Amino acid sequence: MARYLFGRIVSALLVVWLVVTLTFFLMHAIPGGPFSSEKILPPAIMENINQRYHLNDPLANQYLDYLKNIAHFNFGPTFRYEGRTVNDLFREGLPKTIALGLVATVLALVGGTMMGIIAALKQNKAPDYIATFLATIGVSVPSFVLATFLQYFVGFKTHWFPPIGWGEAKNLVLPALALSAYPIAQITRLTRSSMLDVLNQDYIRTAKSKGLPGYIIVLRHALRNALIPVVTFMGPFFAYILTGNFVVEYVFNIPGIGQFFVTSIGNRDYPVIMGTTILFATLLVTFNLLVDIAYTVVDPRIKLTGRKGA
Amino acid sequence: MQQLHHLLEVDNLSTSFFTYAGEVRAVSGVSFYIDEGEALGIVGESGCGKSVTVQSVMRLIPSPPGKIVSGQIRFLGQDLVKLPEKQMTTIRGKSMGMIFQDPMTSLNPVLTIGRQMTEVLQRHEGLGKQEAMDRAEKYLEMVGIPNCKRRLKQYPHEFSGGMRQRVMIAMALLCNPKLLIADEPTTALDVTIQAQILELMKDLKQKINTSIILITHDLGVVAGLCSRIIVMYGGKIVESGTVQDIYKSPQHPYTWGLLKSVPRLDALSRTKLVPIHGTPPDLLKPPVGCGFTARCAHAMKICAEQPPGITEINPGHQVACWLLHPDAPKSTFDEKGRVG
Repeated sequence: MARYLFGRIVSALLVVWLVVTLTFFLMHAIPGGPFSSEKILPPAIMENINQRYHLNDPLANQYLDYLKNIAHFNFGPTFRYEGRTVNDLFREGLPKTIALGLVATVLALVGGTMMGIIAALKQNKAPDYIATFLATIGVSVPSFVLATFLQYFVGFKTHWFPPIGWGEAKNLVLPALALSAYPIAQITRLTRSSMLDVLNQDYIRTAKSKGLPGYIIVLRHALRNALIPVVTFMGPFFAYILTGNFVVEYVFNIPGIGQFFVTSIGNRDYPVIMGTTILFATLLVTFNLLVDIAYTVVDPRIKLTGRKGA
Repeated sequence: MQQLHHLLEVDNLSTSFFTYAGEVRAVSGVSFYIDEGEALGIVGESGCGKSVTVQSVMRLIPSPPGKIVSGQIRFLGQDLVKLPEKQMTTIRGKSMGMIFQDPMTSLNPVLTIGRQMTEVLQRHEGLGKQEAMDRAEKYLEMVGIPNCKRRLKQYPHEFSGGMRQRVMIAMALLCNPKLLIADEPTTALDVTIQAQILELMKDLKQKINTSIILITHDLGVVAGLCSRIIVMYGGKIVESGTVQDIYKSPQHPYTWGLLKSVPRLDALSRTKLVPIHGTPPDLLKPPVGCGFTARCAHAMKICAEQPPGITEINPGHQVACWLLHPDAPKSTFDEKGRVG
């Protein structure tokens, strides 16, 4: 296990480095720069700014300098938010993004699993049809449509929840719903089908023959087996929560990292683009590692070893 | 026989599966009993209704589509057919244990053996965790599993097929049930392990004085363990009697067929096994007369027209066949397996 973890962490660092390198050069390949705008600055001032931010240095030098900086967790200054560093933006935005992501994750896992179990236990009855219908909608409606829909009808029209903004717990409700609709739907479908499969297994019959009550059979014997396919979905799930977050934060005007990420690209705010990309890449790699570890917790037949083919 | 003393008495049991194609009469009008400390064998080919019969007794028929249509199952003074599911769960695992055919899939892969065993004791006997573990350990030792303490912490995939079946047996016996139902417990195991498992069951039957219903399609397996045998065909009982009755003077042509298809070590090398030709009846449209008519070498006109009545050859040996009617022509079966 320790050997496996070591290997995984080394390869994770390699992945992050690749992401850094690719993003860095791609970013500089886009025409325009952080300070080019409709209002043309006098060349002398332009020269000054470029000098100040080392934008005139050869690209290779800029790249090496950047690597040196991020090795010390210094992501540089921002070009557009005066007097603030990328680290400041992280400190400000990350807690909000994490709060939203966490609520959406809990909603998706709890809601999706519960709906899936109910649908499977009441197969071909009303609860099953309702759950399957909701899941089909959740899978097919894109998050920006749902976000706008919720914002307008549930937020603006009925005033049940604030349609925009940040600060109180109730501000989280609509964005979290919009963000978790798709994963709830996927987890419902996965749980339902694997639950139906598991309930027909021989070991469920054994559990019944032991005289165990229904809820123990479902929760202890069936659910853990049914969750194995759900764990597989957790990798893409976290990727979805991270990227879906950009749109949802934008629609609901939440000052999280996702917002900075989207605006920074239009602004060519090089350090912010780099910083947010590295942050998301690192989060994704970490979650994937956690998912692989979660496998061993759910299914004892899976063992993580550092050896190939083991 | 005084009915009150039977441990389990099944009376005119019919179980059907209601499918899109129609009602499949998997078991129709089956009656039998088993006494305390007795071992009963139920034999017959695949699909003859033997598993459905015992699953009806345990009330484990998947429902829908399955349903017990009629009949009574009397066990410890209660009619199990009418018992609410909630009360049924207090009988399953406590007074009645069951072992299944495939030990590879019958244990939950994500729970340790110890957890799967102790939950039975916690449920039925209210034992604490440690007491339950101690009892589980004792039973694992009894079924011949070495290093029980370590084994309890392991998962099913760390056990071989034979070992898993031993675990299943230990688990079914934890609460010292009055009745142990073994549904083809040796079919999925290789021959040497089969013999060990049968030997173990014989041994345990003596030790804890439980009654056993052994289901198999292998007549050779029954002889060693059971005192009485029921032969089923097409959802009905065609012949029942003591092991002596069935082996030495079988009366039903289907029993003859079964006996001729058992390989024997003491037979001459040239002796051929004789298969029973044809296929079992379609239980979606059960035949009007005797179900075996189409495959029976001795079939008469009446066999296809009316179901045969039950003839009692001697006390306890019952046969459902028209050949035993006083007016029927004489057909017999000799010990070497030839029909004269």
